[in-house]
Amino acid sequence: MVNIIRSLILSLIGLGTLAWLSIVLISIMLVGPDPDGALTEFFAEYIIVSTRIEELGYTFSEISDELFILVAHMNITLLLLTLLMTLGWSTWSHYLNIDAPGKAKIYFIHWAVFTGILVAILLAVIFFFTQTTQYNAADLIGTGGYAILSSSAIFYFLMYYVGVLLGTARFARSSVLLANKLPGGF
Amino acid sequence: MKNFIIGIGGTGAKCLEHLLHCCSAGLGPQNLWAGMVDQDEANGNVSRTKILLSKYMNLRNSLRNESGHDLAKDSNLFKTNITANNDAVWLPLKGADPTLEEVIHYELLKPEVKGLMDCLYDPDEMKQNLSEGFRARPNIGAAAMLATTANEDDPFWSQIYKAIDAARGGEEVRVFIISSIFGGTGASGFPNIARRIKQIQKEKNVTSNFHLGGALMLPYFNYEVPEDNMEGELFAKPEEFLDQTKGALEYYAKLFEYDKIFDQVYVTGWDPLAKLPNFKMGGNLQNNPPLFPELYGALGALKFFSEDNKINDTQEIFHIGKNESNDILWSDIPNVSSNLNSKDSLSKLIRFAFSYNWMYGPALTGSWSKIKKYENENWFKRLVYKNTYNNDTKACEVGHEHNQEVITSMKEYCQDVLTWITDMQYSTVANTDQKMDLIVSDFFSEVQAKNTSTRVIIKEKLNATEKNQFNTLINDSKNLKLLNIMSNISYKKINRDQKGLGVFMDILFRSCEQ
Repeated sequence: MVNIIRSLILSLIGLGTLAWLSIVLISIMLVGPDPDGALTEFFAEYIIVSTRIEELGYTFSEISDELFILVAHMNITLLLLTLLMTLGWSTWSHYLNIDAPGKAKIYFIHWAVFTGILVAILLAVIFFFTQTTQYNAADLIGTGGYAILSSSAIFYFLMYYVGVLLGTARFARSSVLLANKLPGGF
Repeated sequence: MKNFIIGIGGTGAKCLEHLLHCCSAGLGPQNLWAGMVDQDEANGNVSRTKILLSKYMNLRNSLRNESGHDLAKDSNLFKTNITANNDAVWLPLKGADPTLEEVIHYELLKPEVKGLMDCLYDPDEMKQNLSEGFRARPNIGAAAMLATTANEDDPFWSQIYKAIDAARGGEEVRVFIISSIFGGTGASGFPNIARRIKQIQKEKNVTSNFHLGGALMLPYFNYEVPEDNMEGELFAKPEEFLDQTKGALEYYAKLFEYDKIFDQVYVTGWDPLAKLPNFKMGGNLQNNPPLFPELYGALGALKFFSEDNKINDTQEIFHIGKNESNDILWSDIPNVSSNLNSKDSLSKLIRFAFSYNWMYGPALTGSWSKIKKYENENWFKRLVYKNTYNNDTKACEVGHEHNQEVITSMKEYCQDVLTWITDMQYSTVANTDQKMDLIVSDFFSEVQAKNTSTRVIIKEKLNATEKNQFNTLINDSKNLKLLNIMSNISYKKINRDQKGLGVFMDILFRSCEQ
């Protein structure tokens, strides 16, 4: 149990290296758009389709609140999902049946499948928020915007990878890409 | 504190075998000098213990070397620094094929003394070749032992003299003697050697710091003697064991009543007797299996040496036996002291032997080109690579001959541990109604009851299903799996003083406890 707690702490440290960015972004989104803010400008310029707003007879300031809420909720979901999956792997790695020298690398397959599932879920979550009718503001997001928002999956994947790199059980490190390059005493 | 142990006869040697395994599990004192007494030097039991003793000392020296591999002071693996003479066995009678007649110079005796000898010994006994022991004739053994002078120049006796001198110098010294009460060498050697030691103590005027203990093994085994070609032969007859024991106990009762020879005496026996399948009169073919009661003898010695054992002025006699039922369990094994749990230490050693022999030993055996596939694994990187890396050559030297010697010796020793426990468990209860449930051994070993030289065969390789049975190896509720061992070796803290392969060996040993 001590080793698992140690893994979880290391995982959280790994996650924290990138998660703070996400938390800052979410906080800004939840506070609401600042009309002169750079983020507001970025959204207006790259995420939404201006012609579509005009067609519907709105101004950007009228829909920006809703758009910020959408992106905040999406990031909260992605962050929680990443956190859950990273801590899940770090815990599970202690129970992998690695009972003999040389056996850890067999479990690379398990890690690859687990990671594949995470990436698929990340993309599905982004799709859900940006391409369905759950949020009205989703209608205003253009193809470019969708591509930019989808790329946040890469950010969360990186966050997960750093988390599992540090948090995987020592004896299971050969199952995670490049984790066995970490120093032995770490 | 200085400790000395003397195993007399075949039983004494076998008790030492148990004691050596207990010492490697960490149950022994810090230091111990071990010696054996047996006229039958080629005896299979004695040879086996001699080989084990030498393996223990060599392996310990290799793994407790501050400039090479070092397990470090705090490690319990091979904790006891055991020393022995170049020849660990003292032969009371020197020369080829000695007889009692020659020893007492019968031809030179005065007629009246000759007459006395004729009354005490029949002609067969006088002419009996004693190169294979005293054949359960303590009367012969006693005469032979008393006839040999315990002088200070003899390597064996010089140790006793040194011990007594050390006691005179203010150091605490404990000497322990183990033997059977019913055999030849043991039965004759036990009281005579003890009295001789006491005599030296008196001669040297040592009144404090010196303590003598002993373990007397009452009958605990018997065997069937084949009827063919035994006429006229002198040998230990199992049907005489109980009568001999009765006589000996009466003798000791009187001896202890009038003279305080021992500070503590540990007495043990076994009922029903273990049945040995093969009878051999002596020599290298007399290779009897290790039996559970001998473990009691060994643990008695370790309890005597324990620093927690406060020795009183009165002569104390302890006796021990198993529980009333026919099942022999871990709970029948007494602890050495309040902080030395025998079961925990022995089960740790057995788990270590298993995991080293089949899991980690093979991974470390061979040249670097074979071993390097593990170089990125945490346990290897942390415990082996780093500690066998040569900064001058910029290479990991685990595959080098000097390291491979240690790795191979440890593998051999682990096989000895597994053979010992398997053989003891099988042979103590074979052909009786008893059941011994200390370990589950059938998945890693085969027992050939009729084969005296290799009764137990340890499988060279185990398949995955057999390896998975590791969690059932020790009959306790701990359910320690190989996965737990792997996890433990990856996380156990390395002691700062540990070096070389000592790091890996100690961490693996410590990882085998939950």
